[in-house]
Amino acid sequence: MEALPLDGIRVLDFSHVWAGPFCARLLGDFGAEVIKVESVSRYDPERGPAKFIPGARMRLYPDGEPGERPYNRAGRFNSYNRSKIGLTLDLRSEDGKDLMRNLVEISDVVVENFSVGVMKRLGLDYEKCRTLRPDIIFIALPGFGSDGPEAGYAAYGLTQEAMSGLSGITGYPGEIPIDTGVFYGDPTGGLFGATAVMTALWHRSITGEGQRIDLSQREAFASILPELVFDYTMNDRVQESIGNRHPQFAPHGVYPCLGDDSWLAIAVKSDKQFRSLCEAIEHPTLANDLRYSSGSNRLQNQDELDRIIGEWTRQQDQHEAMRLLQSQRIPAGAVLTNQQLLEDQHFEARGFFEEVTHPDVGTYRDIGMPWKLSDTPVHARLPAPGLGEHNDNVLGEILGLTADELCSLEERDVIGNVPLNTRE
Amino acid sequence: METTGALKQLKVLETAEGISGPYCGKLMAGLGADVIKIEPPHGDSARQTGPFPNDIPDPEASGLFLYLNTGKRSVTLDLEHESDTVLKMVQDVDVVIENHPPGKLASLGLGYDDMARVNPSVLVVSITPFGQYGPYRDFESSDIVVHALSGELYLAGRPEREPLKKGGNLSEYHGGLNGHLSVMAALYARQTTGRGQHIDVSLLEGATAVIGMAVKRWVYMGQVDARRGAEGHPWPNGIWPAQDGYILAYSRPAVDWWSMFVNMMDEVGVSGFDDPKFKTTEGRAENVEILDGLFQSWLSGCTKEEVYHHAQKHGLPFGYVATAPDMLASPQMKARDFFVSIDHPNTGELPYPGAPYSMSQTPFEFTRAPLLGEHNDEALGAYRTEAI
Repeated sequence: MEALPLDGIRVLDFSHVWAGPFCARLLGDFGAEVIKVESVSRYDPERGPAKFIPGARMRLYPDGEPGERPYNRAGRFNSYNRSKIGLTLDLRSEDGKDLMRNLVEISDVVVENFSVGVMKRLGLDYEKCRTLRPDIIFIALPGFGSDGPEAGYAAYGLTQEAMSGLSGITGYPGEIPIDTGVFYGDPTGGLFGATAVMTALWHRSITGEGQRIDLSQREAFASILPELVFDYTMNDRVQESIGNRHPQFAPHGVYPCLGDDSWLAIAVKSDKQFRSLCEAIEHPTLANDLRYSSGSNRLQNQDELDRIIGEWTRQQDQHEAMRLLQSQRIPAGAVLTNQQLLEDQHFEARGFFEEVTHPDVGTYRDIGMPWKLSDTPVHARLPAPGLGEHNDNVLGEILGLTADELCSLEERDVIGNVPLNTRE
Repeated sequence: METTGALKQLKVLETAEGISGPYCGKLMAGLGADVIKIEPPHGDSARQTGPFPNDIPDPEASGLFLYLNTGKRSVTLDLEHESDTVLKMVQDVDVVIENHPPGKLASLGLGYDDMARVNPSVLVVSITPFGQYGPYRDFESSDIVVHALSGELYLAGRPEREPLKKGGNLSEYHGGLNGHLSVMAALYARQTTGRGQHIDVSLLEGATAVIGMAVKRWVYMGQVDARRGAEGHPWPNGIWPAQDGYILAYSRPAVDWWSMFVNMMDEVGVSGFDDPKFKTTEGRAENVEILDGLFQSWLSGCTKEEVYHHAQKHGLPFGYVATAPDMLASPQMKARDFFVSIDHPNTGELPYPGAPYSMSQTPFEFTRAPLLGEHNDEALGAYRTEAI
């Protein structure tokens, strides 16, 4: 087997929902042994209901079938938790606490995104973990950070997008801001989190020192939206949404193409590109029109320009138009649906989507890696774990419990692989 | 300057412009690495991009450039004619960050193979819109083009309108962040293997990584995922006008958030929410107009901060649409010292967004961005003398 960057690193992932699990998943993709910690009474809500109730909102299941164990088939859970193994352990029981302490002693990283204070109540806060494992790397990803007057406040992805400034610059012009329906907050927090852990692992490999990482998802997101802060401090301007337009360039937008709900994005960033666009859409005289002769003139007259371009795109197939414009060095991209994306030749040529086989799900393609490492390539390593799927592996092989001990734990529901609330 | 940063042993050479590559370099500099930025003689293109103070273009005062290049040293080199100098510099570094069009550096004798020949343990990270190979490799790009081809844009916005790009330049920043993450992984691997490597980061794939659910919907169920916008949310989730801006209402999955909501409204004297017909998602969906009226009657008399704190006090994950002045004044962000004050000869002192996360032993540190070629003498002198 090829060496992976994080071979030999063990991660305890206590996090739920999206940002934390995504952070731990990235570490798993890079080769760490990530143990997802849940319990039979309290598992990651992204697993959905333990039993599917007819008439309830349908989650993403393969073929739309919840199956016998819907909690092992939920698309969201399976996406954010691949490349991990699954442990259930009741952390409120004494046995569970003891076993978890034993696991912390032999782990390198703890990932958690509970509300502030929960890990302390479980006896698993950073100070406690550090007494068990002095060089532990401990990351918390709360919405607003672990200290400050709003530390205990709750937040989900949409809350982050609003509080970080994104929502204020996102919306159709002239309308109130909207959330677009695609959440960027959680994946951003998770990505920063994995980077922070990797940086701390590097530091530990040089100095032997562990540390605590505190990631406010709001602040992490605000740090990738600096333009709106500088526009305010430099110009006293409170930015609002300009829709698909650009503050400096025009034309810039999404234009309708032949077919139903088919669109092409075009972003002209220079006079040269504009002249090429005028040729490509067979409107060469436009390039000489004073109203469009410079970037600032085009910005002022972009309504009319958008109308002219739209008239042309409406007669075009989105892919043919993209290829035509790109052949003239004009930034243009077809707005792909999920189906088109999975069938797209560029993603195909790069092998971006990777097949993952899951015992309760089957074999399906999944999101791959946005990076390709030439010497230590990384891939989706494991399917997401079924609930408690690796209890024997973690508690038996790693901690050395006997079969009898495992049975006893299971009888007392300290461990298990079936949600408690489905049993009679 | 003495630093306690986690990456203080590392030397990084950056030959990158705009956002993605420089952002990767900024994160590494903030964490203590010695980052030398090679700029073309006319400067990084971000120097021409605003915001500028009073909207007056000044290559030494672009907010975007100043933010993306904190903590670096700047040298100016013409890559077309000084590739030998660059290769000498490569001998002394751990990491090279570049975001030139694929193939460009190789054509100048500065491709990964050329760099690995003079320094076999060097890590070269190439951060480009579409990656180093594939049919779209040489496409012209922009944030909106990347989001279009990534599958993200189609999903964003209202169903009856055109797809809507999110504000900012998210694909670019994610590209830089993916670059930093993969560089750290490669550095970690190098401690075992002793070998360098080439990392190919694609902004497009980074944007697609955000929409795992839409991918699952096609592979699991063969369904084209629709653009749903705010209409996909159950009441009251979404953005609402308040007295001085907008708030975000959000319910809490998997707990009895509705009674929390009813209590919250009861406390401010808005009654009527306890009607049993509002108790279920379906019931609320059938009575949206009544609910809207009741809820808005309260919101219209409140500031967004009032709504936010009141809802959070009741355990509801509300927020508000924060503007730049809101964030600069936020007691929470102040208490955590999120914004850091940085002085610069051309702009004076300004607050910059600070650390994306805090590290207890190796905190981020930010110092001002360099002037164009500010470090030519100290950082380039030795290499150029050797060349003679």
